[in-house]
Amino acid sequence: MVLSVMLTMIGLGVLFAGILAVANQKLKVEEDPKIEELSQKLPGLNCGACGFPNCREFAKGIIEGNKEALETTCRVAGADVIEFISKIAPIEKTLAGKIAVAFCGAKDKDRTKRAVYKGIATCRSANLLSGGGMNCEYGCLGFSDCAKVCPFDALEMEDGLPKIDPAKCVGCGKCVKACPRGIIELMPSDTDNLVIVACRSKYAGAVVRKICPVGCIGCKICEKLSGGIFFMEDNLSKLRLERRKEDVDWDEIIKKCPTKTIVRVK
Amino acid sequence: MNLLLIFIAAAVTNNFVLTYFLGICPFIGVSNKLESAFGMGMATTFVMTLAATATWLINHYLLMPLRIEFLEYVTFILTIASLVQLVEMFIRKTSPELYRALGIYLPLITTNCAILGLTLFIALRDYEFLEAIIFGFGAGVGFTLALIIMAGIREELEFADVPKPFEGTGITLIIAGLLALAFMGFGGLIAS
Repeated sequence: MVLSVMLTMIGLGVLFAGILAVANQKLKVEEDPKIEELSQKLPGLNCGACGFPNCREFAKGIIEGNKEALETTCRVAGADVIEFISKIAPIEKTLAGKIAVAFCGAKDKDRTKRAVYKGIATCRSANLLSGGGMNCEYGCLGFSDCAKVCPFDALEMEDGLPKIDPAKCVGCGKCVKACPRGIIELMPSDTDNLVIVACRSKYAGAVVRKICPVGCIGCKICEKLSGGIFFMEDNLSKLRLERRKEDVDWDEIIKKCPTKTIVRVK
Repeated sequence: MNLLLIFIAAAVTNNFVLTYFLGICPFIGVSNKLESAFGMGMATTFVMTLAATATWLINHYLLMPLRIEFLEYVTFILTIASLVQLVEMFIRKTSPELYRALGIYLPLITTNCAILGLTLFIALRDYEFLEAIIFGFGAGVGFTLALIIMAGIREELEFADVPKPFEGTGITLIIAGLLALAFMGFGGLIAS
């Protein structure tokens, strides 16, 4: 019986393998070999930052001259791959050059709470359940949803805050989507002095004073010092992105901020 | 008459998805658009009919004479996997759009328990050859029917004002439950 069992299984296996082999020949899809070549070169992380579902579809888009593919390019690939693509398709030879930046500076000890959250330890569920008991409804919840989705280990949690390594971050934007409070944003990394207001609170200054020691209170000192590079909106100071490269005394602005909300990203 | 009864039983009264709760994964996964739901239903129907035919033949001309029926799980899975591969190649060749729309769910037909369940039901209930084919086809039609009803409802749902906590998967599962309840109403159609 053992023999008949073995022969049956082997026989069936060979039969189906034969059928599939024939079908594979007959039903072969003609595809540009360049697509295969390019998708081998691409990072293969299928992060989706380019807007295509995976690296292969992106490669297909490039080869077929899809406008979207040519415009977005791959943010993850190194310079050599971009060079390779530029030889076979008309793309800009620059990397997208963006990094993720977290807009909250409140560490664990800085956060005041009105309740103790003991639910599922993810930012998403904490945010749904009365903001995880936090007084600030704009700040980081600290359950590291962002760090968990990062395919490049560029994000790690430090004192309950995401710390982004600019050298590792490629700006794929996965953490931006993961954060239920929208604290993380992609910022251009083409400048040596990237200085931001690490706060998203729209509360009035007096409210911020009560609940967070490092929140923006809207005192406008940075606006005056920088000559309008920072501007006020909804009780919150923000950086005018188009003026990020101007030559001002950034360190002076950082020093004069009374709540130490303004920080240097790089 | 018997064949007709088998067909109706497989498609409606004992619907695989809504009565036996087999193949829930594609039922939830591919039912957000009517078009891809229909494609998925067709692909599954095709695989089901072929699988019913092939496994009946294997069961009756190989396993039974050799008295090694205990191999049915392994051989049936092998058969189904090969058939799915075949269908995948075929769809990729004939309709790249459908291939992309079905995505991961196409190879997942391999592990769709509705199909393994179907082949095991055939062996268990001792169907004749023609009955087995009709049963397989009926099950596929029933699967397609469930998927299309679901997709139709979900397309309408896009414009509905769903309470925030129920959005997405939540309301889908509730609808699936209500549909299953509705299909119980067909129970009296055939005395079994």
